[in-house]
Amino acid sequence: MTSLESENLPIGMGQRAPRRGSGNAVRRYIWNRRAFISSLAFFILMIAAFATINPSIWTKPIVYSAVAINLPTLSIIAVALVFVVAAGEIDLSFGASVTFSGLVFAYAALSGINPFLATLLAVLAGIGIGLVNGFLVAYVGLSSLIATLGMSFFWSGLADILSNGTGMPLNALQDSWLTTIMVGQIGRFPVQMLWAIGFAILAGILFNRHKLGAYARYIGDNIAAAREMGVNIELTRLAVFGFVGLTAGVVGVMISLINVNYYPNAGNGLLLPVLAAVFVGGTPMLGGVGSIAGAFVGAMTISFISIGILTSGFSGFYTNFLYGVVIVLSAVVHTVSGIQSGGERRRWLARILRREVS
Amino acid sequence: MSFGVSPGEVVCLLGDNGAGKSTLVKIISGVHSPDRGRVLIEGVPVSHWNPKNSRRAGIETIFQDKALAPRQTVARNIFMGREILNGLGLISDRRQAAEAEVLLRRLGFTSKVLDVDSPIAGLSGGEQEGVAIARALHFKARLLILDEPTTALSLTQSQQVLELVFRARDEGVGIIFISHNITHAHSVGNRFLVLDRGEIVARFERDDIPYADLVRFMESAAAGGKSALSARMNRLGVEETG
Repeated sequence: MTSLESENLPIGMGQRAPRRGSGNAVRRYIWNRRAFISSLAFFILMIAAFATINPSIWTKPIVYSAVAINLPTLSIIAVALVFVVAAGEIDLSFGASVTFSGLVFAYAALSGINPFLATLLAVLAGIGIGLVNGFLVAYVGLSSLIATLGMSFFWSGLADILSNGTGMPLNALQDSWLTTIMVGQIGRFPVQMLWAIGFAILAGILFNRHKLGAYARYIGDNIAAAREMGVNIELTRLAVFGFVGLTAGVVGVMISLINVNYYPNAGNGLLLPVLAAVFVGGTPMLGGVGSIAGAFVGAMTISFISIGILTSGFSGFYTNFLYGVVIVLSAVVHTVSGIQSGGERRRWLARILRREVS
Repeated sequence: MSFGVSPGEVVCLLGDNGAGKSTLVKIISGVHSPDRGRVLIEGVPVSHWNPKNSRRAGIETIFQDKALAPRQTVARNIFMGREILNGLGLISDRRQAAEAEVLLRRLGFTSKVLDVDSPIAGLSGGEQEGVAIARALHFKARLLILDEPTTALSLTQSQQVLELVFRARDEGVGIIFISHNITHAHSVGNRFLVLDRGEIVARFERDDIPYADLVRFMESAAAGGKSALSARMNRLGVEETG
């Protein structure tokens, strides 16, 4: 008989939650939200480190509003990607989907149709791309890594062919209602940040309280069990990929409106930062678990790195280097925060030391 | 092969590894589709057979792999695929936890031992089996299938499982019981079907075969394959079926 031994699971994953009881209520609350809390702690430490180097700049609102312009483009996709990763899959095509949806939006808007209708078409294109991914994974049986890698080249390539690799200015939309509603400003505060927060809350509810999030986790955790309990594996996979596609469509429109331009590599730069946001946010690759709030904080962490580098006086060449440091360090923080008992923490440390010695 | 299970009857499937017991269970519970053949519930053939429809038809299965998601809580596992929803269509964790608590207490697990908010991976093998059994019992099965339910359990825990089988049987539930443990099978079974490579090779009524004979029969089957089995059956005066 197969036993679900805790020894087979990564550190911290096989432990009991702190017991019920008045004294344990706080510990229990923290334990259940450890991915989010350790992401937040890591974010605060990182900002504190930057602020130590150049304290005065961090009191100026411009730093935050500058970050808030582009942060939503990361966070909106990152929180949707948590569903896919929790289901034990990966999506590498959302960058291309952003580009392609942006192209659909630009074509539609420039052809003179209502900008809101153009937005709808772009979002539908994003959903379509997500559903194609989902179909290839759920029904054809391809590995999501390979399917979405292939689709990534396919859609960005198609966007290049259709646009001849050239951008399209969208000046006519600059003063439109759509721009005001989606990426306008309230004072200095970018409106898209409100969309991003609202969407993260909605995604949090879907992930933690709705069947979609629960089923995605069951599939990522133990697909045989999910099947035996009547969970529709194929439909759930289709839905989570479609969900990422939807967010890529929205972000494709958002980026076009922010830049007042469609450009053919609009989504190219999103792939690694969004993946990083998910992992920095405490959603592991192993499936079955994930944190929406963590992914949001992860997107904040990633977004603040480049501005932190600039304000600290480093050259822009340090950006990727620091991304690497942040991703690995945060993974270590998540691992340590997942260890509940002092004994296991000591064993974890001993294992590292032994490996170093040998 | 063809066999039926009546309400309040325990049918034991016996056979060596690879005999097809677990495959048969997965077909009845809708996980695998049969290449041919039918499943009838109260004489009515079922169509669109899948796990969901099987559970709807009142078939509850405790799978050999327990069908638990290790990183989810006990309560979420009990209600996996049949969540309790609130008015907004969202999963009501509070109600699920409360019902899971009552259920596990009824099975003899106290909340001090088994916490419904703990992930499954932190539980012992016996506790995990308890969760799988609680889930099957909660949804008022008409046919309960237990695939090797006592393998990983201590003596006391095995006894508890057997008592649950008796209780379910007395409540009129039809039961298919699969075990390598002939003692357990003989203590609960009304009928025994011996499987070998996907075929029923022998059928016994409990009254026809004393425990010692059943043990010897299974031993010779394991040692000598089908020919030894036939020889043994001849000596016992049992008719071969298939």
